[in-house]
Amino acid sequence: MSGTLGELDSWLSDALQALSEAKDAAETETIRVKYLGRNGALTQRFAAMRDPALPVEEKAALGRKLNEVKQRLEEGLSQKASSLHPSGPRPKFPADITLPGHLPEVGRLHPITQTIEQILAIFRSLGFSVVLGPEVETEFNNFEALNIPPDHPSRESFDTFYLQTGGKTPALLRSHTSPVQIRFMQKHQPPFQVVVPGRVFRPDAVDATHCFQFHQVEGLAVAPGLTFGDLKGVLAAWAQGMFGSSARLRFRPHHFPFTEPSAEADLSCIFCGGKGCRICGKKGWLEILGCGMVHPEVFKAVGVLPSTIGFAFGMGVERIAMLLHGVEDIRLFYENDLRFLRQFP
Amino acid sequence: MKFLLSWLKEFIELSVPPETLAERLTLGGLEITRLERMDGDWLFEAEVTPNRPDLLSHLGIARETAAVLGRSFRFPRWLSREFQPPGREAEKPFPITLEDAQGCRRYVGIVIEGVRVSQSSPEMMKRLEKIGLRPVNNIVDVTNLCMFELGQPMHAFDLEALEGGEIRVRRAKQGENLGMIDGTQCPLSPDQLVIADAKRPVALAGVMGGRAAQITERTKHVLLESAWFQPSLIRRSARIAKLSSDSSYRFERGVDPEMVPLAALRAARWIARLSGGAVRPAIADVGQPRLAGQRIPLKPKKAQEVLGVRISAGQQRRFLEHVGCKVQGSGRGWTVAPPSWRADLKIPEDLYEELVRLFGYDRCPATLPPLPRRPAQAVAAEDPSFEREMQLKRLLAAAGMEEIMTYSLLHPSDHERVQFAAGRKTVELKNPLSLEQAVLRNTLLVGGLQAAARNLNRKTDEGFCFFEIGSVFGQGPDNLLRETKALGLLVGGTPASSWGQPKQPLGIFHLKGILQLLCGRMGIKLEQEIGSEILLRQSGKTIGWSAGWIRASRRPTRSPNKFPWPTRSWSWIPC
Repeated sequence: MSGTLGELDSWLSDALQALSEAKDAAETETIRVKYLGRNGALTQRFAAMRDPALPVEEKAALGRKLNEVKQRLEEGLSQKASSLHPSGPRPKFPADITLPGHLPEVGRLHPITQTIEQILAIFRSLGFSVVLGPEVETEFNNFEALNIPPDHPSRESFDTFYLQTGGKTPALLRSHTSPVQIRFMQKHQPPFQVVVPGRVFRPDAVDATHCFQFHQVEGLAVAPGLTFGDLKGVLAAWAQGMFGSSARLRFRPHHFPFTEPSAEADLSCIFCGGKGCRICGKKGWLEILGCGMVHPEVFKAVGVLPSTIGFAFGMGVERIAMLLHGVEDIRLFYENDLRFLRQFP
Repeated sequence: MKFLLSWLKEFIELSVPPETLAERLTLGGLEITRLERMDGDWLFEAEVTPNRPDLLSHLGIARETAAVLGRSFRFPRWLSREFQPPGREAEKPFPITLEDAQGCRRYVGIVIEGVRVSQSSPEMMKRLEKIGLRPVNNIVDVTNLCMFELGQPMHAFDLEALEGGEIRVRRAKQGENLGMIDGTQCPLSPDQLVIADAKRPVALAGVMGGRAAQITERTKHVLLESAWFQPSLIRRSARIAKLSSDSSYRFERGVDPEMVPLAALRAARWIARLSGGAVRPAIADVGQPRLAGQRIPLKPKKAQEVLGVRISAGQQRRFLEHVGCKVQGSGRGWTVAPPSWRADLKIPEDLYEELVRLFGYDRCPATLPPLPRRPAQAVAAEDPSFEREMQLKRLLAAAGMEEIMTYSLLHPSDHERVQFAAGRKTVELKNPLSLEQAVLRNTLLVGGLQAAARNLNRKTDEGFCFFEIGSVFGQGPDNLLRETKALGLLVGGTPASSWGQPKQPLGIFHLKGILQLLCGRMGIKLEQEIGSEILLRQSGKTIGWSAGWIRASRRPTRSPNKFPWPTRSWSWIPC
């Protein structure tokens, strides 16, 4: 028994001696294999511990010794390794490191969420705050307060889903994000600058460019001294942030009941640079948003002085996402095919 | 609105090429959506916004063209001649009674005697066809041509078919019908205005004429109607009848009240010339001859301030005069009287738009508001729930979940199919487009399963980890509608594994891990894991739950219970 333990001691001193004399990693490895390899001397001793004939006391002493020797030998090996590689021990590589890595499982945000974030980030940098509103609205907020009276042809552009509710006042699904202007102004006194992302609904038959639900980002700025030029400036800055520094906006007079003067803004075609192509219909311009100076009737409806000055704008998120990513069918956003979703950053 | 270059040139001298004209009109606010060469002529198609009914005629577009080209507009001499009042009245005019003076403010009736109804000339028919109208006969064609010429819809009646030899403009009586030209009967309601003779309605006012007094080959004498009807009344009336016409389109937007008698004279003379008839000099003209016009105060300096651009007072005055306004007063403050065809001009802001559009939207400098006009710090208005939602979304994406967006509108049976309906009231649409989109979702589960089905049906056996944050809608016991933001998680399938890693189906513990992660970050306690239910509690209150296994077939949305295949799981928490 003591002979065995002595033998182990001498193995250890032999091994450490050999290690101190080893000149390179190959020699070190030979020593490791000799003692700790699969058929190494120490490994075999460990295997011999399983012998049932071995008395318990002997087994314990031998185990302790074996572990001690193994530990000191490993320490020696690792010291030698670091002395051979001053930067530290070389990690253990598998045979072939050209095998592909294990990719972490990471999901992503929906392209519409990404586009909304992108749009909002620019307006936030211009000092706008994000506010939200509900998808179920009243006729007052969705229409009347926005200067869209009943039985008026301007309602035609805002076909709307109405809800079967027990309540007395008709409830509807908002057909634009503009009712949030009303909600916000009922609670806050100017000055302010807000942007409103949200889902809106219109009874449009579904095709490649229409869907009964889509998203808008609405903006409202109210402060003394704001001008039509400021509206143009803010939107031009947004367009450059969104589509690159060469993006230009063209403003055309238009009609919205809740703004006066009103404008529609066209973006210089991001596909042909304004020369005219299939996507812009050879016009060189893409309709991108509606805007204008807030109509005094809107201020009146929310109890803000009608002489107040402000501007508002609204844009369709799906349309912008389709332009940005070259998506040709709006339905793809709601089908949730992973092959589609995984194409976005 | 379609219009022809040759027709436009009858009203205004034009030397600009059609492309330039289209561009100038578009940038002035009349968007030209189509420009097409058409046998020696040019066809324009314009999108006319509802506030500008004055642009629904060639005369109106000529006025607009003059304004955007910086010119003033006058009637051409040939048109002024047509507008001349006829000779002295020798006899009594045709009897017309306005029973609803609110619904019809002015009604002009002219009789043309001894007409011969026939086809129109080939030129007239060609013109009608080019702008998309079907030629009928020389009488009706003139009323249509005049509508597209002057913007005033008119109607021609067969005089001898009018019983009792009179016209009454009144509300329809309950139970009354109008016999239509195609032989059908149109039921009428008192919300509708009709043109009637002594016995029965002969036309749905402003919308469509009936069969009884229509112009036929046997017509000898014509009564020509030109009127001003109340726009919202015509709109409601057309909607009730489910009819729409070029005529109702114009009346419901508002026609020029001053044009009512002029257009009648022009049309009557034209009909007489074409059909060999004679205009009876006695003209019936009932109702208010004139409507009081708007008077708008305008301060040129204030306009400059709001627009952020220097447009001199002199230039402002010229712009306003070019659109037909009369400007009175000194340089500091003006009173502007808009022309009769511009009922949309009511307040100073309406005039600002006229000024800036004629000046050119693009010539206005774009300025970033200086800090005093950018009161970001003044209000801490930001709604914190948006950023919270974004944080949650980013966390879920980082944890390997893909965000999906599904439809908020579902088929009425969808909730039952996922066994969500028990004891919950869903909200139905009053006017759905189809049954597929007839109720508001009360759970994100349906959309989630549809997304899963879509990906599973591709037969690429992959895993999916979906999440969605969106509004769900229910009705409480008080019948009040509740809109809640919900989070849905859905995992399932077996994701493709990398080399050396075992292939493992995604199960309840993957989902639970995600929930634990979320709850850890949000300070929510996960507890009461009874059977397959997991409750989410915060400060002793249950704030969400997991529905446990969804047993799904290959097509989970069709029959979720048919083939047990418990690899999907779902839960939601309101956030």
